[in-house]
Amino acid sequence: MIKVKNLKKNYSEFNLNINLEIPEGRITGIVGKNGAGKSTTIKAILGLIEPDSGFASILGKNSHELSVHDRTMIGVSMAESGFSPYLRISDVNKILKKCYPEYEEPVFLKLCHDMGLPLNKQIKGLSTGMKAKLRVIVALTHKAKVLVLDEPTSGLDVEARGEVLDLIREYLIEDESRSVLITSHISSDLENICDDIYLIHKGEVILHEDTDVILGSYGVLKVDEELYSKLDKQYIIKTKKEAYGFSCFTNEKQYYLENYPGITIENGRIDELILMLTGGVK
Amino acid sequence: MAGLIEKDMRLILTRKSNILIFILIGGLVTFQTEGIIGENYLTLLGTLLALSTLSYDDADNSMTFLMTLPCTRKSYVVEKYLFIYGVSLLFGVIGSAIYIISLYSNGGTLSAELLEEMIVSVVPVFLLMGALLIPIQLKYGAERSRIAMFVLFGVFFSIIYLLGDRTTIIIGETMQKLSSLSQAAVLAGTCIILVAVVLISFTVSVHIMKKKEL
Repeated sequence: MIKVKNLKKNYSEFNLNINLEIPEGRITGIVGKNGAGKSTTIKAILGLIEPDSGFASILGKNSHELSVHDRTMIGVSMAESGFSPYLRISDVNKILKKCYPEYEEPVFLKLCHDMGLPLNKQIKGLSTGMKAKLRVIVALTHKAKVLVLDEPTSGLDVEARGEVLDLIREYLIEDESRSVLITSHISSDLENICDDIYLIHKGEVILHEDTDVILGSYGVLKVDEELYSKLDKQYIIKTKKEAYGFSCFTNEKQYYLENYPGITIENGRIDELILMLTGGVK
Repeated sequence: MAGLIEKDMRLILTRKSNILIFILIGGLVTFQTEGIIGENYLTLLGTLLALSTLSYDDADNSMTFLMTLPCTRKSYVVEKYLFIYGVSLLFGVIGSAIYIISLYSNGGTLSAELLEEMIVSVVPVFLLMGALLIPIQLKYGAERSRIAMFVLFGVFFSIIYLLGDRTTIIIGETMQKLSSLSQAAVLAGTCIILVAVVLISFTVSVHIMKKKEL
């Protein structure tokens, strides 16, 4: 559905160099620190920026050759961009009706009602959370085959985040051939919904792994200096010096559980993944 | 493209109370002056109002999202030209209608010459305005395009100033040559020039949009 091959884009702050692939029927997450290149990757996939080399394709077509019809099959929510804030939600409804042949007006209106979005209010008068909900609703209500969601839960409280993630899940249940690409720095959201995760740091993919594997096999060993000196380090990916000794990031926590009884292991979460892989010492 | 037109119409309609006031002022000016200045005023206003949709698209990063909608960069440009010229024409027609009403209410009649004057005083102006301002706004955005316009007019008037008396001579010679031609030839020539200018402007605008990083 989405393919990025040797995509390079040079900026003064960093150089983007990305390979990724999202097959049909998958929900893929991209995580990383602020400024890592998540949004830039999204923009390249959507044909909003021109890469210096390599290519990005979506729905089997080069991102820069997408026709009007191709774009009707892509649902997009951008973190810091949307319809003009001077439009009202009712205006957005009418505009979408003219844009998308498969637009589901009753679904849009129902979702707005359920999420508490007032139709006659201008977008600039909405709260941050309401704007985020509107962006996601716009992406979900025209039967897109691919969703590209850049920070869809940004600005939402815990309850609202859950509501939005439920919407995305239901969307995929309706048609299992749909694919979703989500970027976020709220790792817990991605753990609950994504099939696999790409970790981007300084413009490069430093990890690609299934979410189940991250949660099941990855972990952080917390060891003192004595234990660290005796530790088998063949499965240690990154190490960080701590006040108590060392924290060691591993992708084989079961090995250490079996061979070092009593060792303290924290389960691998995406937050730890980001902190250790982007900050620890190899 | 229908979606983009709908968007622009709705953006303009957010200022419908302003539009009604403009039309009222245009009407008052027309009835007071008994000339076509009211028509010119309304057409100019319509052009500026339609051009403001470019500013709306540029503001708050909206353009980034708009280019993810079902449109291509070229179709975005096509829509802008059609919309801006369409709205300008609409306001021109409203201004003309008000003028014709004032004319007949004062016992006058609409002659072919008057109708031609009404068209000639308005159509080339909004065509040229759009042809100049659309690519500038696409390239520089709303804020910087104002500066670009000042620079452009500055260069234009500097040339006029530097040419000095020669400007009057050049204009005089041109008018003399034109008066020797038939009206039909002048009209045809003007139309060809206007069409050429709009086409060049459109080509430049498409190029600007295709190169734009969003």
